[in-house]
Amino acid sequence: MGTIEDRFRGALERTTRGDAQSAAELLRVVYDELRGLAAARLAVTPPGQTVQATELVHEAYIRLVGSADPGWAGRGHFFGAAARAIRNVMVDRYRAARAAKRGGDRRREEMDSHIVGDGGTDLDILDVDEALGAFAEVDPRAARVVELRFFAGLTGEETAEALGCSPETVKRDWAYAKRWLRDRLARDDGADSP
Amino acid sequence: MTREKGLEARARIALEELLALPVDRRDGRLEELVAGDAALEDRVRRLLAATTDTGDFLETPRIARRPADWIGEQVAGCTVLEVLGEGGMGTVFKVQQASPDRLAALKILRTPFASAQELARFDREAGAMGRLRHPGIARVYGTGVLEGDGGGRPYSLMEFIEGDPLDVHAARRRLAVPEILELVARLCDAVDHAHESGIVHRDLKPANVIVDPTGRPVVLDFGIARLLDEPEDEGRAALRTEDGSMIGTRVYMAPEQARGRRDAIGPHTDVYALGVILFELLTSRRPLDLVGLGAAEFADELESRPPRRLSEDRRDLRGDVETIVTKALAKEPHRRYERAGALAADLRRHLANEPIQARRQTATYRLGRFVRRHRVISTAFAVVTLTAAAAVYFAVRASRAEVSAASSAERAEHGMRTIFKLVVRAGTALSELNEKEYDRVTVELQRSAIPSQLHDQVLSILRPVEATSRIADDLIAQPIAEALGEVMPEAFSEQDIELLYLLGSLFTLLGKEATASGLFEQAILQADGVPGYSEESRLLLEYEYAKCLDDRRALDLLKEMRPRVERVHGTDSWAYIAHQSQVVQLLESTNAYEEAFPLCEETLAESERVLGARHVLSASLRNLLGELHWRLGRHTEAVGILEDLRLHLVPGADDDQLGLVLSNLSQIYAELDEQDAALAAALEDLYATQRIRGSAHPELLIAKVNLGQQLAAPHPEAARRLFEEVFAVESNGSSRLATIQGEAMLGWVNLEAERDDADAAEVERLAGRGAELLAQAYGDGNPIAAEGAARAVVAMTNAGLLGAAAAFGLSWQARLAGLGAQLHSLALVTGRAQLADGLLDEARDSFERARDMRAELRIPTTSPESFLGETLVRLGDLEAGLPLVEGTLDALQAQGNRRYPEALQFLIEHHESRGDAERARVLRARRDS
Repeated sequence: MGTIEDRFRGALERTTRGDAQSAAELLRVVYDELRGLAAARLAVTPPGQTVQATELVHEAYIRLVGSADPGWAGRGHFFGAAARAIRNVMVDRYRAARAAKRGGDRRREEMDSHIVGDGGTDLDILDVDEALGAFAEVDPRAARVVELRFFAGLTGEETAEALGCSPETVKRDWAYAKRWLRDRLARDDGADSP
Repeated sequence: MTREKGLEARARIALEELLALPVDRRDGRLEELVAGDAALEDRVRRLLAATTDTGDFLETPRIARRPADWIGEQVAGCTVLEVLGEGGMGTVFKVQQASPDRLAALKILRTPFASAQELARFDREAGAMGRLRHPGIARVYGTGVLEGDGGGRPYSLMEFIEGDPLDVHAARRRLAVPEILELVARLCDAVDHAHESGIVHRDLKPANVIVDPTGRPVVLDFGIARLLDEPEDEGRAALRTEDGSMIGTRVYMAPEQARGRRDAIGPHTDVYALGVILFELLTSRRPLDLVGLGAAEFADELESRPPRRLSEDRRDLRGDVETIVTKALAKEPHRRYERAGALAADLRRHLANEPIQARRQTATYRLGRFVRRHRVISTAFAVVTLTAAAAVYFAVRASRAEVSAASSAERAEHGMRTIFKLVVRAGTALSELNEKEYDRVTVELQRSAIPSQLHDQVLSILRPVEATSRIADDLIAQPIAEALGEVMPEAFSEQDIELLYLLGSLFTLLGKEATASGLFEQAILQADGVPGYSEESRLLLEYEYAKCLDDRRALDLLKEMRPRVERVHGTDSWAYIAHQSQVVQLLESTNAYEEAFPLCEETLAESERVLGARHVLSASLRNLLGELHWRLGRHTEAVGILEDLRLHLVPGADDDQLGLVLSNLSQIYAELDEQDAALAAALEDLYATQRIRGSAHPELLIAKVNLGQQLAAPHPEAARRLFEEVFAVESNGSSRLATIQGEAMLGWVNLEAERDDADAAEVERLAGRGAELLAQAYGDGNPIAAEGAARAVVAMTNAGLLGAAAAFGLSWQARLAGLGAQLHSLALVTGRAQLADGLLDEARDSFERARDMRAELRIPTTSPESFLGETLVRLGDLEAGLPLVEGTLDALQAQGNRRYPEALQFLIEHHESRGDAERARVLRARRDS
């Protein structure tokens, strides 16, 4: 199978050529890389301190892609895969942490949470993941915008390039998506859900 | 789904158009766009409302290391042992510090510090906290910074406290209300220590308070919240956004805190949190349910919405506790207790039955409290109180009369004259108080509700009065009763009834139950004519009335009240269960044990279901159940129930109930001949009672009498002193005190008579007085009266007062003739005195009577027969006498009867005197074996 870099380069090339099967392989490779990176970084992170997920994505880019520019299509495929992969890494770590706790009724604040800053409150990664899944049903493109901007840490311009649409569209999608998700997450909070 | 999607797509288009418009034009355009489509309008409004302007929503995803991964690693010179918790502010580990070698709690904050300036401030503040020394505050050993990417993470190393968080502790132990109040008061003590040093906690919540194994609450994280909450430079403004603690602590957050008014934060902010904690511990609910709100909305609601009333969940907590909680939860900081210490003080005042500061100062409340606290106080003190109350009464009446007709004014003037006379009398009484009592009275007068000019007048008259004569309470009570008749209003108002109620309570206090019951009757009668006088208040009046009736009449009244209590309060209420438990108690005190038992069982089950097993009523019913088992002769069951209850009551917190349980246990153990256990229980009872009562309280006196009875055999001197202490307390005419003192006197004379240099005159005086007190308290129809007389006779006999004892025994048999066969013991001990005094014919009659009475009651007749035999022998009738003495010898020995050695000695001497050396030798051998 070769090194992870070889696997990555092969998968990225085939995906860029339009091989749909390879997209799954690309995701797997990036996922493994990000999971390893997260574990390594966290091992030297003091308790209570956090690692920004987007930093991991950029580190993975440097390690896997290196200095050779894969072109806009290659970049798009990498960040698309990386955004999905880091989201999965966060969800999996969260689930693992929760499974490790005994007695499932411990309060949420006591858990190892992958936090998502939100003006004074912490969002639960599982809630975000679930809301984003629901949003993808409503507006798949805007949901991709969220993945790329939020999880992969791309700018509006970079997101537009990766998705092959205008920066203006990304901006509108992003504004709409945030409101949609905010509304959805507030309802999940339980107070006024139907 | 398609329609849903279509709706969402249209909503998005409308949203984007509206967002491009200035805010004030959005509403108008929205209506045009939706064109009456309610579903669309709703959806667009929701999206508009879902503002994302705040903070960094969906900006930075972060991954945290699992705290559990740190176990075994070295951090800050410590080995991580365990994760204690992870909260908004960071993670807490249990660690082993290497030097000094000790367990500690290491809290690593989540928020990184960027500047050196900030770190310096952190050190400075943490240093101030480190100087806090209080057993209720976890020590801060030190602080530091863990270097890492993105800035240093501050940590603090704190004392490790073993135990449960406050809420877990309370739930697990099922704490009773007084225990909760005391626990929170202790928590307040600790918080107040920091308040004294100007340090505010700002994040008090049950999770921040650990109750250690000794039951002491210890506060964690003092002042940490402030370190995070008060950035000095702009760069720190993002702190709160990253600090997830807000959600967790909103429940305990004071309005000024929610508003972010840092300048308004002070000790009162902690008082608010303590109020919420207290509310939560008492009801398991929160005073406000504010969930799913944004920060601004939350602050608005917190400022405007009144908290739930404590009594909604706990009717039994109406009154002081509710007032205290309400004051702690006041929206405006200045209306709350200024500091945690003031809250603690009010909680303790309530626990000690003193007036609390939070209460609005109504006359009835203050005097009511006052009366309750001083149920038994010196007569003189009571007289002064009563006079003061009467002064208030007449002053009120007089001022009302002023504005009515002239004839009324005349009456009012008479009322004022009466006050004056009473005040002079009170002054005379006051002069008899010792210095300490005098101070107490004047302080109480100053604190009481008497209008100030009147109270100055009262004091100015009281001070210089010098008199030596003893004032009987009748001198005060009688004129008040008469004056009352003169100024009694024609039409009663609610306030008049309250005043009658108050006066009635004061007469009860003086032991003038007859006068009191007249006042209550009057009040109850008049209450019917007062519109709006609630059935509930009327029931309260009737309860007071019942208190001054004898047990049987009180029982009848309570039974008659039951359906009304049920109608007003329902059966699932504290009031109903309390009522039923009163009935059980009265049945018990009127010896109707068989009837009481099933009702007690039933009421206990109800009480445990409705109020919980830890409730004071449940505990008291359980105690009654144990007592009833005992009264019905089931000692084992009684001990089982009472010992179990004793284990569950907490010394210091449940002393009230504990005293009753221990006193019962002590008596039961004594009956079971388990002297050590009885003694231990009696001693513990004495401690428990002394902790909560003054030295003259009946409960304490009962405990002393019980202990004296236990100590009589092993330590007669100590027992004598205890008895003396009890009857030295000034009698106030209450029948309860009379029975206790009567018991003490009889206990004392019994011991005194055994002494070689017994004070015969004192024995005769106190024996007679003791028997009299018991007979008056219980009534001549009660067997206890006969028992008391018998004990008096025994003591007099033992003290060598044979003639007096015999005469006393005979006259009491005549007086108590109605008791019939139940006079058997009195007849027996009278016979003994007569026999010793050489009155053989009278003795023979007495013993024959005692024998016949016992036969009638189917009690063994052994000792009367033995005595009768001896008497007959002395009368020269050997043939009839000797077989009686000899025939009962084995049975007496088997019973361990005190008559046995006496009878043996008599036979030995008899045979010796008749020269029958052989039989004397056999018997002597038996005696010496």
